[in-house]
Amino acid sequence: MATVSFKNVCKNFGDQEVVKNLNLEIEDQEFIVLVGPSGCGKSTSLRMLAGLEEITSGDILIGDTKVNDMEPKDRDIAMVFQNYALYPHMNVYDNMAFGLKLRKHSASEIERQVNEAATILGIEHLLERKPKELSGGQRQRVAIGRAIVREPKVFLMDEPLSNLDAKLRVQMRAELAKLHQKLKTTCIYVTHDQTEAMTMGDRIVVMKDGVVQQVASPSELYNSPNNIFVAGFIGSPAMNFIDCKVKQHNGQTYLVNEDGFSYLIDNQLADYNDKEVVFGIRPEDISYDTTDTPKENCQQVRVDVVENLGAETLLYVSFGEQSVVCRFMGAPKHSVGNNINIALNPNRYYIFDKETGNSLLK
Amino acid sequence: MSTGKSLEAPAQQQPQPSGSPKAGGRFKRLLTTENLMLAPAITVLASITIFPFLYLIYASLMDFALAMDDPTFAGLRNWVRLFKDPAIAQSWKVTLIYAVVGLGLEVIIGVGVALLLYATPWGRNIFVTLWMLPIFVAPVVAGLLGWFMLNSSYGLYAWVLQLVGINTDIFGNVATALPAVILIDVWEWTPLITLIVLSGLQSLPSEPLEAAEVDGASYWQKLRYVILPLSARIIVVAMLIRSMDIMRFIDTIFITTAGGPADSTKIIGLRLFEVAFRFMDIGYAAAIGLSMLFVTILLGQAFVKVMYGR
Ligand SMILES: Nc1ncnc2c1ncn2[C@@H]1O[C@H](COP(=O)(O)OP(=O)(O)O)[C@@H](O)[C@H]1O
Ligand SMILES: [Mg+2]
Repeated sequence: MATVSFKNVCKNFGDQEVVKNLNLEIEDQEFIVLVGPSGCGKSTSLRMLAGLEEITSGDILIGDTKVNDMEPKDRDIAMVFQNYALYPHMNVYDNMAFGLKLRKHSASEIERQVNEAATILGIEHLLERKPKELSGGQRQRVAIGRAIVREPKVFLMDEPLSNLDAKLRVQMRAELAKLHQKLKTTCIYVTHDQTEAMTMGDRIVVMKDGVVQQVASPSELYNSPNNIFVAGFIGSPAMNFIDCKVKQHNGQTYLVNEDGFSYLIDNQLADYNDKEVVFGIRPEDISYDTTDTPKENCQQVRVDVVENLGAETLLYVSFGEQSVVCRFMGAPKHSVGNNINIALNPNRYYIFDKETGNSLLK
Repeated sequence: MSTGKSLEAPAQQQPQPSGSPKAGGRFKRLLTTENLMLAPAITVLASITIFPFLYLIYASLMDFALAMDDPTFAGLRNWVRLFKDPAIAQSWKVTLIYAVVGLGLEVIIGVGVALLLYATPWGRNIFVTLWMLPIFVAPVVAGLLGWFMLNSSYGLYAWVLQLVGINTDIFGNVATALPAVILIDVWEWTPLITLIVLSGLQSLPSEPLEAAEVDGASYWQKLRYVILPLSARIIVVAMLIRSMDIMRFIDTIFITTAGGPADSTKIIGLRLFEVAFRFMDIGYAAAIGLSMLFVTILLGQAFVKVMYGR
């Protein structure tokens, strides 16, 4: 077990900058998740830590040791690859035992460790099989088993669940979390799926185009995103964004736009008077307005699409050119084409600079 | 189309219980469009492989020695001779040495160079092209080249050998002729092994190799436990291609030693050539040819078993 530090790490492929100035301190026993859209440099960051990719500049430390020029085999890490990367010619037992054999553990020791890992993962009955005789979920377990028998300093996982079907993914997610609570090994987990990130990470690193956008706990990311990208990436369905202008009126500050939108905020935003900003509100912070009298922070909208998910309902509504998603508990009360009033929670809103995308609420 | 078929089907089914028109129905089924379209290809295939093969069996049972155009029936005489002839045994022995030593060297060097090229990050293409050059040389020319280089009066290599005290006519000495023709074969065909194995290596999945590195494998351990097992099949394919080739190979040896001295380089292909075209003993040659075919098939089977067995 160990800490991991990235210090000003950059990576270029040719003249394409894939990772830009990555700085990250990962604590011992932490479960940290790198999340971001495809191609943002998550795998590259992980592979640099594993030693499978050279570092263009900067330093990577595992514990107190600088590992920039260390071979992968000397770094004492274990990695779970997206496509499992099992050895196709070896059976499950040998796949899991390989790393131990290379480290010259005794045969009885290897057998004990492999059997222990197999029991944890529920694959004892598969030890004689070749990878091609296993289902996707079973292969995934073997790949994880191969990583945990080694008892490495750090686990690296690169989208380990992305090849599984939705149900199995949810199940494995919980199992991985349990496994981490048990083993307590520092774990760096890469995914493009914000749900996985939110449910598994102690802390989450949100990346975009090779640049870290925010490093924070799941609730902090959800409640106070640094910028419009993080706000839109975290949460499902995604946050609604409405372009508007800041207007001072009777000593109060409103956000308004041409579609007739008007929202009273308790923040003065003095510097932004008459300037363009982006207003954000999450689908779950919108409710029905049952009263007929017009009020602050209410909006009349038309229902475009109704998605009934059983426990909750997603309503896709619009006013003017603006579309908004709302999320209500229970069965739908309205049908397509209805005009309804929605109330926007007056306390749970986000405002971003139109130019930089940075949050204005910090 | 579909209506025609649905009308036809009951018509075919009805007479079946009566029994007799069954053969006619089967013949009709043979004349389906797809079979008719296959017919030309089958005819060509038959005329270029099956008929010659049948003729070879016929010829091996005949005696052509007295008159080429009027063979007489010989029964199994050619076949009995085949198994008793010490010259044939000698040729098989030479062929075996040629194949095992030659192919052994070719595989070791060829795979070694393929692994080197596989690990080379730059200049791979240039080096591959240079390394491949001997393949593009016709075997006859390769033989001539070897003959010039090793000729005792003006050969470059022979001269070098003389400088270190080896003073002999390389193709004229029983001890050196076979090694010399084997080395020419190695020179010419090792690159083919490299080419096949390199293409196999380049199509290996990268993830298991990376997994092995992370698991703690050094280069040699990675080679021993992952790369070689994963490319074993392609190496066997290369060996299969080359061993079948060697079985019917004559060009280079024909040019350099013509099988001599004292039959020390007379591999089975060359022996067949000699029996057929110098002694004009077509019946015996046919028997030799069929025996070679038989061995080749057995060899192929063995390799396929190694590849897919277990
Ligand atoms: N070996 C490589 N050579 C060139 N470009 C690469 C290489 N590996 C990755 N890239 C590029 O780097 C960027 C980031 O890739 P990656 O780290 O795999 O993204 P992801 O966040 O989806 O894991 C992508 O634009 C990809 O095309
Ligand atoms: Mg990736």
